[in-house]
Amino acid sequence: MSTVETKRKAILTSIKNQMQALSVNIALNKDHGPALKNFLEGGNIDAIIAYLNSDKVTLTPKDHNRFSNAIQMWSHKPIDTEIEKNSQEETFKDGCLGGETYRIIPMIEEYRGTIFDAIVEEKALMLQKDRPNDNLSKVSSIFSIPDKLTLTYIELKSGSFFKKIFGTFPYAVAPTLEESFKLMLEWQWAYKYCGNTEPVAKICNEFLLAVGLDVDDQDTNPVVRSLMALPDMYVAQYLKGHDIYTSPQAPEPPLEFLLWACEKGMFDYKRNSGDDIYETCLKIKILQKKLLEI
Amino acid sequence: MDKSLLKRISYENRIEHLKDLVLSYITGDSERPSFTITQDVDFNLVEAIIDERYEDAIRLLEQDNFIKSVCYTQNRLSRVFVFGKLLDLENDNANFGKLSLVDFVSVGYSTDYFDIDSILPDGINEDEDILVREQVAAELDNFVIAYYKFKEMSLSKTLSSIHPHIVAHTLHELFKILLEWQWAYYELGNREDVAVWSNEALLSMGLDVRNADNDPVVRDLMKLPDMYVAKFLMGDTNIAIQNTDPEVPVTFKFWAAKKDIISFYKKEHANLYVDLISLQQNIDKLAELI
Repeated sequence: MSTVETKRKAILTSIKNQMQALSVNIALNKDHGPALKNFLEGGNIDAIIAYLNSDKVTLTPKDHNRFSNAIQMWSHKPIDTEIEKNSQEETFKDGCLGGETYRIIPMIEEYRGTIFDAIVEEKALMLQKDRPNDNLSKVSSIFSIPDKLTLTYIELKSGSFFKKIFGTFPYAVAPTLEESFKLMLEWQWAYKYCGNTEPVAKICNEFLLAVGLDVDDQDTNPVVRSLMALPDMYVAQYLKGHDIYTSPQAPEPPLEFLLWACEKGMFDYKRNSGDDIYETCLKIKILQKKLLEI
Repeated sequence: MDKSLLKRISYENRIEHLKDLVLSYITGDSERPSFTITQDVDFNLVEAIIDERYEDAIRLLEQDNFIKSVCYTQNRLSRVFVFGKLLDLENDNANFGKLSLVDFVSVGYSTDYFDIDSILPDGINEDEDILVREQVAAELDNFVIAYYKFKEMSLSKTLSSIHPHIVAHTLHELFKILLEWQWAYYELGNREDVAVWSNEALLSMGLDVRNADNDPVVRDLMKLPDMYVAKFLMGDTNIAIQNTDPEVPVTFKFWAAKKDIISFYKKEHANLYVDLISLQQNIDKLAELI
């Protein structure tokens, strides 16, 4: 048997194993099991994923206005640091989450007191004028590494406020979680390969290394590779000399990234005990994709 | 046919065979034990094998198993490997499981020479501050290699200055020390206990510093940075060793796994680990030829 055939057999065996695991997970799940049993019998993995997507506390629902929600990167500061007057931090202080020793601050505050002061002030004024806080529908912390970076999901009741924010300095806000990670990888790339040591580049690099993602020339990590295949975000657009732009269409989230993010606990599946079923479905989809690629 | 071409073909054939062999852990088609996918790490492992990312697969096995000796993630200064001899002195029941840190030293080495307590910061509480205390190389008859993990603390200050230097932050550095003592035994006629015991222990494991040219394990260990004995002999007055873990030689990993010096939580992973390292070694050798 050739190695290609052996590999095909290995993938098929793995799919079979995962289907068995899925069957057990569904049988044991009181919340979702009865509803998902029919999908499982029909081998319809997509239907199971769609069902769970509709049930979960989703980050970016398909029919949602893409510019009324955002994933924002926040930097961390010691909890006893004084809050600057008229700063973005002051604007957001009620929603600023944090830990015992730190609180989160908007990334742009890392640039205060530098040559970027004018931009910092300009942004603070814009927030005071537009008052997005009055229009908040939801703010939640998605993931945090203490003393490094926090990612939050922000959703507005209405409007397209984030159209103004996406693609503005320091490129720390993006419409979806996968685009946020792509953006952070671009910052990490700039840090590693362009010698960019500005705060956001440095912070993103440290955060990504802490979660096990490291961009390199070959994109050897499958999660990194899947993210780097997404359309250019703002840092890449800037470095290539293109206009800064946010596509009105959300890219398809890569399976490898979804599985990784789910395993890291970035989605709200735990609440509905559907995480194991969702993860197994993603694994089956990834294996099916590999089978087609042989 | 020219020799290099023959070598190349031989490596290519070996690589193909080993690729099939590691895939057979998934398909269950050979004498190798197959594993079922029940845990996340297994899926990542399966994915890495299918994608032919063998270095990732090796790393995943190291992370998932008890391979503290080769896979270091925590603070270097909070862990030590200690070599000693088990002597059946006044304590007839002497065995590692029952020994406390100090007891181990008292039966394992004359306290005139060595007191492991002295490498610990003042005020250490054995029950609270030692997180892990395990025997590493179970197969050694009369000797012990023990692994200690402490709560966050620096053991570096005194570690480098204690005779007879049988303590290291990593297992491969400890083996480098033993080889240095073995070298002193043969080349300098050093007959201190530590030199004699190092020689006995290494020979019982099949390692001989005199084979450095022929044995890749010894050769690669000897390429590690100088440890205390070599530093002393070279007249290096700065006996402090480096602050980072030197890279673990692949030949050492391979040898240690086969010798069962590295133990695995999942037994079926031990063979896979050896096969993966062998595969990666062949790939590296082929790359050198091309």
